Amino acid sequence: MRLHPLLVAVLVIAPVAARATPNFPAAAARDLQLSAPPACTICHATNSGGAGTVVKPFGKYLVSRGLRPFDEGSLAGALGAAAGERHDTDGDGVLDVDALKQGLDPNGTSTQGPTLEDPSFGCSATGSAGGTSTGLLVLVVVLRLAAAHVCRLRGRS
Amino acid sequence: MRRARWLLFLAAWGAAGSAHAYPFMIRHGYTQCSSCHTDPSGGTFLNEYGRAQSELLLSSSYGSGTESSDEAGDEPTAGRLLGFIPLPSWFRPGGWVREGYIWNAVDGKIVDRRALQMRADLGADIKLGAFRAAAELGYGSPEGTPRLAQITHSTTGPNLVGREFWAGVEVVGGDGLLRAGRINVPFGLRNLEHTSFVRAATRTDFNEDQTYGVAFAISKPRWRAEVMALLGNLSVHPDAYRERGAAGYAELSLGPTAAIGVSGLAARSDASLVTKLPTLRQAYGGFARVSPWRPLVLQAEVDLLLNKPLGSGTQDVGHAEWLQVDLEPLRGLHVFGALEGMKTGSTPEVQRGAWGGLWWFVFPHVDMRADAVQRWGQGPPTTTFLVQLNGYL
Repeated sequence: MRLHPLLVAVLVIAPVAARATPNFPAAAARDLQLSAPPACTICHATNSGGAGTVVKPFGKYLVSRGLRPFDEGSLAGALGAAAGERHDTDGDGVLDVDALKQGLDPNGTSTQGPTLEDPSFGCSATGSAGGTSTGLLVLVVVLRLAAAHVCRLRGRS
Repeated sequence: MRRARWLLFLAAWGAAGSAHAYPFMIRHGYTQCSSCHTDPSGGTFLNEYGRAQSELLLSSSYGSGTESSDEAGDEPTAGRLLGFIPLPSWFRPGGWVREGYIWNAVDGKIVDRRALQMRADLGADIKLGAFRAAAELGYGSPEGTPRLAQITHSTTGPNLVGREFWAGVEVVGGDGLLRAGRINVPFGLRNLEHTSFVRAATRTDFNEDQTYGVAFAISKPRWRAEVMALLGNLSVHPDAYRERGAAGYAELSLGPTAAIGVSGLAARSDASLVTKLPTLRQAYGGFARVSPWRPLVLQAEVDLLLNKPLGSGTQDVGHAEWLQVDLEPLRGLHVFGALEGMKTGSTPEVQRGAWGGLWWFVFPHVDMRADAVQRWGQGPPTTTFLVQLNGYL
């Protein structure tokens, strides 16, 4: 029996029963009773996370203490090790666990000073980066004008 | 058949796509991306010829199985929107839906499985005389939003996503394109595997790494090149995190089925997204594509990574590599494998990866793909299984 390609395609997209992705920031907040989940960037290069992007010293430390991808139990164990070892990644005198409870980055601050906020993405509500929407708006207007020009050309012919 | 195609497209759209660049088309003698794509460096929108070739060369044939338009006899319906709506030559619309299901395993044990919404975008490219413009807008799910391409700024819900939007003018008798806007960073192979180490380490994937700038691209019969002034990704806040600099590549055709190229990128930011330190990031490399036998295409890229925290007096040195084999035993059916490596300057470990899978271009503008990716070298070994269905207008 030969499977119709369409049937095969439908079979492939059929299993849509998703389950929630293990959420390390939320799990860390629960384990340490934090007021808010920490940013992914305390371990990862960006908030997108992903395999191979654990580049921050604190993240590497947690990996060295048994942290495994998607395994919330291993996160609890690694955070427990950080507390038990009184680990201070950046050596600023504030333990990693305490830094998290204070809403700080255990990896420390930079030469920008503690006032440099974590990166955020998308159009800024503060209006400091309206360039994206403005650029789109300009493009839409240009496209609309171009379409009108085409209509005029067609009308002449 | 057309009704079935409609139903499949709507099903895919309803469930939930990535821009397309198929460097393996060099097996058919296409060393120039601009033959089929409106972007001279490949990806995203197809021109009328590209739409036709996607049916005549890319997709499986269920009839006589001829490969050239001269032999096919029938008019290629892929040159039309959804296969039946004729399009004016100046208007090239595009739409992408890519939905997948992913399994992640650590040490051989499945620890994560979920549906993956990868892309749901609509867009258009227009060409009026020498004037050119293109834009796309899409939906990013709460779990799958490409953060660096966000237009809206929800941290918990879905987002409006804009990967590309630019306007420009054709120059050099149509061989050149000078444009400004949010544009794919010209660097290396424009491969679909946007999570590959070479794309991730150089931050030049075309899922979300586009940036604002001014670019000039040129395509000649034996070579192509693009240079871009990087003016910063306005989707990233605050401004200190935005990288500014330059990037570019040049590729030379050694024959109808072989090409080699070089790439370079240098960008500075007041605060690195990784360290928050003022940083100069550089990447230099070479890439190659060759098809010694039509069913077989080899692609390779090797990049040197230089990362310098400004004022520190230190220079982190790393590297990333990619070697891919694509075998097409039957038209439209691809068996592929890849080996990759990466060492980022800040880590002593060399990470390794191995890819393998099947890719089937079922109908014109509809393809299915299954990947298995094993990675090791940083933490416990991980394995990812991914199946995906992609439909595009």
